[in-house]
Amino acid sequence: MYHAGMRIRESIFSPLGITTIYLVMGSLWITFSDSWVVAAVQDVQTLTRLQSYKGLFYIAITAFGLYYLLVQHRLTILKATESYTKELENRVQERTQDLSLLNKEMESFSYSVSHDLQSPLRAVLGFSEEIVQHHSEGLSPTATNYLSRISAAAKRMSVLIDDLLTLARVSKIESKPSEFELQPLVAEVIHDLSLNPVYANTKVSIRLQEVRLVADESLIRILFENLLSNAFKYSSRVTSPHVEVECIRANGHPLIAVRDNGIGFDMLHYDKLFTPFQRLHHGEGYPGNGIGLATVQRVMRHLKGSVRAESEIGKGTVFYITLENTIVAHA
Amino acid sequence: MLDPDYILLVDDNPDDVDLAILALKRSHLDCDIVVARNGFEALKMLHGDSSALPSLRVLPKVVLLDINMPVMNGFDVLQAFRAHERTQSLPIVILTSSKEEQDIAKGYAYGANSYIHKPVDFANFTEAIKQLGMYWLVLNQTN
Repeated sequence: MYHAGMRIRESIFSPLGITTIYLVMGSLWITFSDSWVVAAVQDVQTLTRLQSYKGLFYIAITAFGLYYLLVQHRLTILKATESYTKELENRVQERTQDLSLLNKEMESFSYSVSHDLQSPLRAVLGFSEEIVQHHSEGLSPTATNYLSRISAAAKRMSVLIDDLLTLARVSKIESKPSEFELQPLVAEVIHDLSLNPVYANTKVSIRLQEVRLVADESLIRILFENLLSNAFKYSSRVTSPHVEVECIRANGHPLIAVRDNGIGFDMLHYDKLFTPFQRLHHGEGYPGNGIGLATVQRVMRHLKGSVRAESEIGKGTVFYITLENTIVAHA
Repeated sequence: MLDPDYILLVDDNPDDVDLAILALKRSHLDCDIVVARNGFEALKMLHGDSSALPSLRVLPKVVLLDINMPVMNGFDVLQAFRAHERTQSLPIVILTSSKEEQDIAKGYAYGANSYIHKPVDFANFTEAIKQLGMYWLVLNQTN
């Protein structure tokens, strides 16, 4: 905070203030001292000597004066910097408080979303199921069809809520790194996905021998759950679906590639790939809500790594994951 | 006449109460269900300090306790049960929508015997209730 005293001090001890003082004092000294000396001494030799002493005396005095002014100038700058730093610190503290308040609000929002939004959906699903299973006598096929559509819609909404919660939760997960082998984790995720009969024909190749990571295992799991479910989904309708996960080297750095031979996407829309709710495919064959890859990107940001994709329509997609300092051992 | 092998369900949401009753019915768990519509009611019923409500002389086989309830939430009820001589070793299962790790940890820390997340899907909900029923059935037989 600046105040009037400080402003006056600043203007006196500024470079302009110091120069002005020097100029005024010098001019006054020369004008008055010369006229006194000339009035007091007649002898030219004495006058010359006195002028020299006067000059030396003036330099000595102004040197002290200049020293004092420079010290004051430095102090003024220090004080201004100090008060500016304090102001900045206050501002940072205020922002931190605002942010933590916002974080808390966000947390309670997520909490209430998970409770209060799921509860009515459970009622919709439960009671429509109960009607179909145990009270369907006299219901027309159209009514049964509508009921099953109500259930399907409620299920979709429930998945959407779960995915949104994961997306919101990812950046808040407190990273607890541990060393683990990647292959079993990926195999487990693939096993869970393979239980879906839609993916019965999908051929899977995992080449991650001896790949060990030091990272938060739950984050890595979220990462592969999303990448692999996409790979399975978008290759499920080609003749011989194939999903590969491998560790490769690019410019001396290890990269993990998740590849599929599915429908691919147009690289022209690449900028939309990781944006929440943006889907590059629509239609009934590929259900989804466009949150998966946004979650992937958030996980990678949290792990201080990066993700990029290459794709060609009709040929497939590959996602490359870079994890600096995280892949500790690889073949 | 109340079956001595009854279940006490503590939940403020009438839809969830009906669904839980339906799930128990569909799991062929033939037992009576007493419903407390909030934490206070449950405490009054089991600690028998109210004349307005039927104070239950026989303790339930198990209490199914929701967390998110107004005024007195499930954790408060759990703590009150554990602090009271009559209910300190009563089997209590938390049955809630929350999958939050902190809620699960808190539930066990306050003395819950089990924690069940209420699945949105009714088939999974029934399955969860069925598993729970079988677990308590085995436990009661061994007792």
